[in-house]
Amino acid sequence: MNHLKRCFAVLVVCLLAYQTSESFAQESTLDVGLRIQKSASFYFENGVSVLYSDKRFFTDSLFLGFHFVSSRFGSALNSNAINQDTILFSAAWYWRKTKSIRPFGQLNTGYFRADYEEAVFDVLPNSALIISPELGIGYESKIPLKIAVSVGYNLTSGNGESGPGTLYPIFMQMTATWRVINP
Amino acid sequence: MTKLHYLFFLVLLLSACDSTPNISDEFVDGDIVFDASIAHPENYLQSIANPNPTEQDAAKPVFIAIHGYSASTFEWDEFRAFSSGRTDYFISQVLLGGHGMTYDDFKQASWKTWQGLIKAEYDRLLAAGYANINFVGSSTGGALLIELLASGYFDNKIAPRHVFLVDPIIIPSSKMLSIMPIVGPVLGYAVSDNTTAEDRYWYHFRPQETLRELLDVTVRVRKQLEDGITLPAGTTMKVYKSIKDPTADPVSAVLIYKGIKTSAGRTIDVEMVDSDLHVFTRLALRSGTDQGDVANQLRTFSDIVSRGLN
Repeated sequence: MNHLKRCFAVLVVCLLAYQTSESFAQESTLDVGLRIQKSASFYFENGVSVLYSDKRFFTDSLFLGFHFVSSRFGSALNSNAINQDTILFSAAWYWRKTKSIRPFGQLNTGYFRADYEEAVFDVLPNSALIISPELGIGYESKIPLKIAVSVGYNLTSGNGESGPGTLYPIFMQMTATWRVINP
Repeated sequence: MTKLHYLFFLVLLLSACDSTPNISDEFVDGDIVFDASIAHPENYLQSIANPNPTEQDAAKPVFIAIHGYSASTFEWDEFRAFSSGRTDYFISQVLLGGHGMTYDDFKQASWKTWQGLIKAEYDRLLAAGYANINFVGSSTGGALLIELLASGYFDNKIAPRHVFLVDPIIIPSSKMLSIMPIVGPVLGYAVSDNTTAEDRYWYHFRPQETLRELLDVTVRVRKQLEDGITLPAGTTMKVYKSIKDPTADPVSAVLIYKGIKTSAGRTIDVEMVDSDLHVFTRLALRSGTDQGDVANQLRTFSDIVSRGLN
């Protein structure tokens, strides 16, 4: 539930930011939306994404992001799948400025935690720092909608002897965001 | 890229797809070494050893022992040795379908083929009159047993009394298995890190087709667990899981615990074992085992028998 509260707080911050968008320079942008993520042959983990590009630093090319995904909004919804949450901070570089189809590379870092619920499983690792590069393609429509699909690789996945077993290395994700500042 | 480059990569891809390993006669993969239960099933299967049990024998527990992917009946030989001299229960060591024979036999078998011989032995025992049947399954044997429970195989039959799972695999430790459908056709096969002695009982070469079957059955069972599985009335389950395991990720035990309930709605039993071995009950042919490993094995065998006799 703490994660839900954090998500809600992020959304509130985004809305407030939208309300005060006049204070931002024209070139800075903020995109807010949903992230759908699936590990290869494993769980769906869905959540939210926030992407920011500042006019002073490679505007519309460099995007700094915050993402929260959880199996609670995916495979564990109404099932016995393990509840697991991931918080990511990212830096993404989008090529082909001004084009609608834009390849990008992204580097994520963050924190993963799985909830095994019972004390008997306390001997198992259930959390990890995340480092994951992504490569993908973004599509920017004429409306402030932006869609990005990518393939990523978790460098710190579990291997049965260390690391959480439900942290898989290869994942695919799709993010659909709406530009709420400087659309 | 020139046409020559394309041609080179096409030849490389096709040659990889057509790769056939160089199989030694010393391997179970070859044409000479076979699982011993094929030539002498009466030494392994209770239904063959005694198809006409007395009423007294028919009431005794039978433990059907199921080995894992690419293994053989050897995996449970130590349980039979542990039980030597016991007359109050029987052991039936099932060779999974497609296993214990040639590389090509293994390559062509699906997970349903693997599972088929478990059903065959169970049904033969029931037909012979055995009424107290239990399972002990290791690794993929555990996943295959869970699949039988989830798919309703025991509906309208005498259900197993107890199901014991040793290092069952739901989540593989090597997550590369998850991309086998993509990389498998290029790889052709994987090479195991067996010792020379183990090569007589475990496949040295693992065809990518079988690895994809392994992925299929583990994903299927994971989803069955996510949906929830209820054991037949009167059936219990206990999972014994190494806390470190290079083959079956220990988190597999969490998924089984969350996914299976008894008919009364209770949780199953789980014991996390202080071991870093996969199928820690098999110590034969391993190097570097210690007294702790032996103690784990004996304690688990004793617990299985004790629970099975109750």
